[in-house]
Amino acid sequence: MSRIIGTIDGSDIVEQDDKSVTFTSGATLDGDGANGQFGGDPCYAPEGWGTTLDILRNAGHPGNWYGVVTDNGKKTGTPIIQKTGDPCPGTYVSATSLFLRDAQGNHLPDSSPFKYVDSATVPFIVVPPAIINGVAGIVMGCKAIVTNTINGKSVDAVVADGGPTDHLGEISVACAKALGIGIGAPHAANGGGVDSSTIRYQLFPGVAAEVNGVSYPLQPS
Amino acid sequence: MRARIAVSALFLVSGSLATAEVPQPPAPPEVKCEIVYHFREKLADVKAGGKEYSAPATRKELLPQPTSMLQGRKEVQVVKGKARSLPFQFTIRWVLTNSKGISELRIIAVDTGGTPVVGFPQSVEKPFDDPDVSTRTFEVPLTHKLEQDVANKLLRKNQELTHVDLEIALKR
Repeated sequence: MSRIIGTIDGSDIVEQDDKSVTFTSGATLDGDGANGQFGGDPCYAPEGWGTTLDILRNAGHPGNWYGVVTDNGKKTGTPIIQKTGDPCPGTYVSATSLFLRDAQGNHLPDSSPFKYVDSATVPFIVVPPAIINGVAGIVMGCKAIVTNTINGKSVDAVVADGGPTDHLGEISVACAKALGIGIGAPHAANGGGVDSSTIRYQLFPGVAAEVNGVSYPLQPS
Repeated sequence: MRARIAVSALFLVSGSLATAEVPQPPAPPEVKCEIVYHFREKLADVKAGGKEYSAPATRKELLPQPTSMLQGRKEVQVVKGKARSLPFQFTIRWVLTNSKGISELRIIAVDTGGTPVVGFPQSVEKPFDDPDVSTRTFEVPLTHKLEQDVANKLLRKNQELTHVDLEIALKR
């Protein structure tokens, strides 16, 4: 028997009989986690660095860095800057809620750009706490399928970030491009997206995602 | 007799011309202008070492629909409007090309005294020539006091306003 987990922005979030979760909404863009891991643009960098996915104001400002990794793990700390040998030297490290591990399965330090899921190249979705806390299966890292009902395009994705309580429908920049959804300019993730309720999301709590040949860990909340 | 045949032939020709389809000019692009309030939320019940703030999200406020006018031979569309939560007046003007694309976008923002907002006016040539781009954003600078007022009015206590944009969206 399907049940409604919650309703956000007028869209019902439904747990289906097979325990998958579905909803239909618009889509805003999330650039978080992009650190140039696979050659794409980073999410955040000091002013004047070059093209970034998002405007630096979305990461915060001195004394209040809520959008990048800092040296003391607090928003009052100093942002970590990628060094020579890192994928995108000179830029900040942007985080997702889903943490990745190294090839041996070991935890990575918070300062590692590879700890996070790259919005520029990996199709991922963002979900509110109502979903994370509303089902039995593990949501972070689980499989998702996102469909643009206007053009019929569909993409396999991973649940990789947490959104606010009152917003539904958010995707990575790579996910938007795969679905034929417009991006913003001059910053791809600071704009673009779809306002109308035309994007269908289905996620499979408890089923680890595999996207483009990469397996993602399920991460309990 | 010959004259009557000629007149009938003329009617036939003109009749067929009248029913032929006349090509319609392309419709102007659908453009939407909005004030966008960006925020992040401090998440509850995050495990130690977990990401404490949500992904960015937005609240939006729609400005009025555009009106069309001719300036010389150019078709121009204009939006004039005030944001409910900001003491600014915006005038957004774009020029349509013959194929109904947008050749130039110009934004004017003034405060209640008519003084231009810092960073405005701004102009962008061919703002939507990149087929992947559906929105152009222009940051609206706020004083700390105004940021607090907006946050108090629009956001929950655990949400932090990051910045405010004027967003021009083209429906593709």
